[in-house]
Amino acid sequence: MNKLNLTSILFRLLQKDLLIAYRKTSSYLTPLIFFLVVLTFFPLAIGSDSSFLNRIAPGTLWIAALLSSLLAVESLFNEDFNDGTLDQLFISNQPIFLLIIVKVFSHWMITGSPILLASMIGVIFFDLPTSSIFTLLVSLILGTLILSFLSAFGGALSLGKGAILSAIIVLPFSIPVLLLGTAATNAAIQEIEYSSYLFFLGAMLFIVMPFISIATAEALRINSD
Amino acid sequence: MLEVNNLNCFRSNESILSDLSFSLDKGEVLEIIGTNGSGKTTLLRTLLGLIKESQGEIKWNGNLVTRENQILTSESFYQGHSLALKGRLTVIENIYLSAHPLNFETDKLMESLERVNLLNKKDVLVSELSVGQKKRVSIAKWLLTDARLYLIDEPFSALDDQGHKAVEDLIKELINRGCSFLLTGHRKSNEEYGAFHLD
Repeated sequence: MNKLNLTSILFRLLQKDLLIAYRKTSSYLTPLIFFLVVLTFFPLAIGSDSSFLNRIAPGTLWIAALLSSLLAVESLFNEDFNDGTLDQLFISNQPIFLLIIVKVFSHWMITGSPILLASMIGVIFFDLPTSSIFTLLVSLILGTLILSFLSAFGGALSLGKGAILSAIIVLPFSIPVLLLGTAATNAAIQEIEYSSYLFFLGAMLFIVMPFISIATAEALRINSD
Repeated sequence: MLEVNNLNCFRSNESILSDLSFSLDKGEVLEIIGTNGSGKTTLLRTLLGLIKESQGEIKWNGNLVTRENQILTSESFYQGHSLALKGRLTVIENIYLSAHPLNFETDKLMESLERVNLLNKKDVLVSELSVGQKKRVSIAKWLLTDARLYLIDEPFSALDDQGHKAVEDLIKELINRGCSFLLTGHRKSNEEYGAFHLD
């Protein structure tokens, strides 16, 4: 019997997580609805002052994205822990940090990518200039990916415990992402140089991805013991 | 083949397994028998390196097993008390997308499902199956690996007579291929199997 190669194993893991999420609508609808509710209620509560909405838009969009991504933290590893899948991953003889990167990426596709699409509704609600859409999207792609990795770490540290603990762990680490993402979007709205913020977010992602994945693997190993 | 010497395992500074020694040869079945909480599952998980707080010597084919060299996990198949099945996936999807990487022809998969009497349920969501049927899904994977050692936690629990016989037949077939089994249970299930009492 031939052994599966690593690419096939990673692809199957991605396929499995996406298929489960597709059949469990709450996994992607809950963060999406929460994000949309926040975006809708802010303009309703504040009024239609376009310049004021413009000023608060980046912060509102980013806080909504941050809180939405936290909603799904618990589902990242707890189900695998409870049904024995986590043990199987650990004894699969595959590089665990790569399996975690794939799991986080699938988690981002399920919870982060709907937020990207919904943020376009935010552009309309907050009357943002079309020139800022590109920056908003790129910063959200990078930022939500970083938040997903941080959430994975929080989820691993609080394995088998409540989501609140994960949120408490993740929130302080997510402040730089929130500041950089908001600053990039603000700069794009004001039509000033924004690329440095995006580069910073990109650099953060490439640092966070391997280190957090290794730390997450170790935290999972300790907590699933 | 598998040699365990003076294995100790702790949890929160409490000893779960104390100075445990046994060996298992090629083509043998050894049942670890004990009451609830006696450490049967802990023993299987310790052998696989899933429990950190352990001491002792584990050898596989004469080579010392460490967490790093993975020589035991690469040649073993573990079926825990939790079956690692996803309720939102069908029987076939659960096997095809198993966390334990399996590579097999479709014919072989169908044959395995037939052996555990689940061929007619292959496209049913696992959440719609009974506990015994879920167990059979997991058992269907046995023929789809090239493992040499099977570590199976309570293989006969939740199975009816037909399921019990299917498992015994599978064990017999895999033993004839040179595989070995380390099973856990509350009582001896077959007089031909070796037994080791934890209590």
